[in-house]
Amino acid sequence: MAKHGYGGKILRIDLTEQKATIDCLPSEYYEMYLGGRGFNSRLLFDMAGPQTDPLSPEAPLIFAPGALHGTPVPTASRTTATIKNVLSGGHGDSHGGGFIGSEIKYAGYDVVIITGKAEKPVWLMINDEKVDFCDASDLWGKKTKETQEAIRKKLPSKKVQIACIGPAGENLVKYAVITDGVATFGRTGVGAVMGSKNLKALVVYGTGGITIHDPSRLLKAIKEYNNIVKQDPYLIPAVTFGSTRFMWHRVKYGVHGACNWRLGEFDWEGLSPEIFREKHAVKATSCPMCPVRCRRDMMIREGEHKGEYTKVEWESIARSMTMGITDSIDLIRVIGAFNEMGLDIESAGDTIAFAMECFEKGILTKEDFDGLSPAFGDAELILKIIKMITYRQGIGNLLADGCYRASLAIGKGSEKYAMHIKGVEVTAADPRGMPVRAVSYATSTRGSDHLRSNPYVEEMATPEEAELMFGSREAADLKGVAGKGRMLKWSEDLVTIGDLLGLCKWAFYRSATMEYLCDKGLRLAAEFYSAVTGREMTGEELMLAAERVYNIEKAFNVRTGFRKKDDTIPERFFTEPIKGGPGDGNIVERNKFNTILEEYYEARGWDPSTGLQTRAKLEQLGLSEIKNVLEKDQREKNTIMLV
Amino acid sequence: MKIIVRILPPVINDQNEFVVELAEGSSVSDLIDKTTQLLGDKKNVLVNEEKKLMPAWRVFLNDRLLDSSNYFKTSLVQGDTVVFLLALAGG
Repeated sequence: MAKHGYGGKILRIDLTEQKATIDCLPSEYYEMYLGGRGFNSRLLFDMAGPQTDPLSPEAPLIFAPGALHGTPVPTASRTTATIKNVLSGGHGDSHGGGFIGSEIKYAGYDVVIITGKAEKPVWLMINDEKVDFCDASDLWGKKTKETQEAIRKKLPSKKVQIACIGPAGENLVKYAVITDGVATFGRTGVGAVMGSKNLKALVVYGTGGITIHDPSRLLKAIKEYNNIVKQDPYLIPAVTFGSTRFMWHRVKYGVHGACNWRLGEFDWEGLSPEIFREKHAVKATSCPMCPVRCRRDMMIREGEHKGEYTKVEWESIARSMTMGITDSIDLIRVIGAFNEMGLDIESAGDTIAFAMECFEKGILTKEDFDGLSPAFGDAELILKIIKMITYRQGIGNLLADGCYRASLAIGKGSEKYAMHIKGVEVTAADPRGMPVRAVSYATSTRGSDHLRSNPYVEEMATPEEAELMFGSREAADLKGVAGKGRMLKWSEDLVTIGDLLGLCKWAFYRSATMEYLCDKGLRLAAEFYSAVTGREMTGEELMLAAERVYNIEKAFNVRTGFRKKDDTIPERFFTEPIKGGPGDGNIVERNKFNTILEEYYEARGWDPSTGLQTRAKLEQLGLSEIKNVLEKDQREKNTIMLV
Repeated sequence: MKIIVRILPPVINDQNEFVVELAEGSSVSDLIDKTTQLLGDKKNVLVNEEKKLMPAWRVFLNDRLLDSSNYFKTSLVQGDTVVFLLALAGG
């Protein structure tokens, strides 16, 4: 393994036995998977099988900071938390951009694996090689901010970093989050896994450091990165507005996903970037080492709720529109409730919107909601539903399992209003009218997701660049088809590099030009890795490592039972046109979707007719062990799992 | 004639709306050239070294998305609103 840049050890914690052991990862892990999501995806594949219940004691909860986390590399702040996906049963992970990862590194670890289940609620204190199992009976039931404050009072050092769950995680809400106070590990139910282990918080304080192989080379690369940030138009408004700026894009294309993904025209003015900036923004904050500082705390400054504040990111605004919210004060209150209870805003927003539409359609009644009449945009009612979900009260008990499972339980045709992919609720923007975005949601290895790829390169590539990189000028056309599958594969691998190295997807893997994007995401990423670790790496080699990791996750999902039929999107996107706005009448055209999907499979070296991996591709990637597991499963289950 | 120009998100000193004066019969290409001149040393935010509008900027004429190949043949009239929208690139 590389000597520099890494912690060098792995910490295994068994909560049942209250025992911690320290060992090392095999050196091939460093060579093949680099760090972060790469380590975790391989470990999950080895530790959890198709029969593993994600909420059982044996199911692992794995934290790994990216390879460059803890170093001065700009935006290197991302840590991956990996689990067996509570919503889908397949691969699951979530990524947080806070400080917990650097403390893990400074404590000497590249990975922390937690298994077992404590007899009573505990919180863990990791201080270098010392691991304490602390009684959490006084913390159980507390909300996230209260938990953070209570633990800080107990500890003399302010340097500790705390990742905790709220009541939603304790009650095993399937989309509960883990939060470290700055960032949130939001998706796929990581907080429920933590709750299932009776683990309230992970507290880390490291006293070691990370060595850098070539500091002057690193400094030179940092200067180059900062120069790009200053020039790249994509990043300039991020400094001014944070992520609220995405509203303008939604408005011009009419892809709000409003009112359970139906409306293209929406009363958005009360949620405009200017309103958040002028009326609510308290301060710009950032993840470690980030020159962009896109995070925003938002406060209500007047009226009945004066003084309430919470952090607001773009996706929380987007899902608020999915619930029909039109007012910034309502939004801050609702998002604050999600954050305090420890709920994933993406899944919770979609699930609440699902319940509202079911009520609209007469599938659910007032009796189901304790006499309430849910309506899109009714903040008071949404706050009550959030509480019902968190504490699994009434209909909240069903909704706590996500919209897919809730729809199966409710029946009566409600399934068509459940907006999910592989059991995981839909995120980001409405894909109607933009076919590759629809496919990108479908091919994500953790269920519906807009961060698993960067199909948005179709907006910034010139036709010449598209032809050169993806084999067709059409790849630079929003409605184009040819080349889009190749572009999707390329962009999935590209952004996966960010998760291996711990680099921010906004500040590193989004840009206004292909030139800036490739310069940062490939050339400079490789330069940073080489300077920090002393292991020379090219952009192409980073892409190869990323492709390897994507294939491991795909194989995990195949073992779980996912097939080509599951690489799809909610039927609503295919059959119901957007109502109103600039995209009025748009659908996802099924033939375009299928054409892009097949080109994608081909680009990945998978079988286009089944979507399954091929032996040749897995061997080419050095994944013979993964191939052997699939072949063994195939023989034992008499089911085709690779070709 | 006067054309209202909006740049979203605002990337130049917070200013996201201004009026550009053009000769009658001018095209969207002419507007891009004039806007670039007005931006002075900040023009690199909008155009590349070849002085072409970066593809990440999409142009909407009165809320209608234009094809970049049509900029030079799309004529403007007094009171038109042209929006330069930066690519979403995520979210």
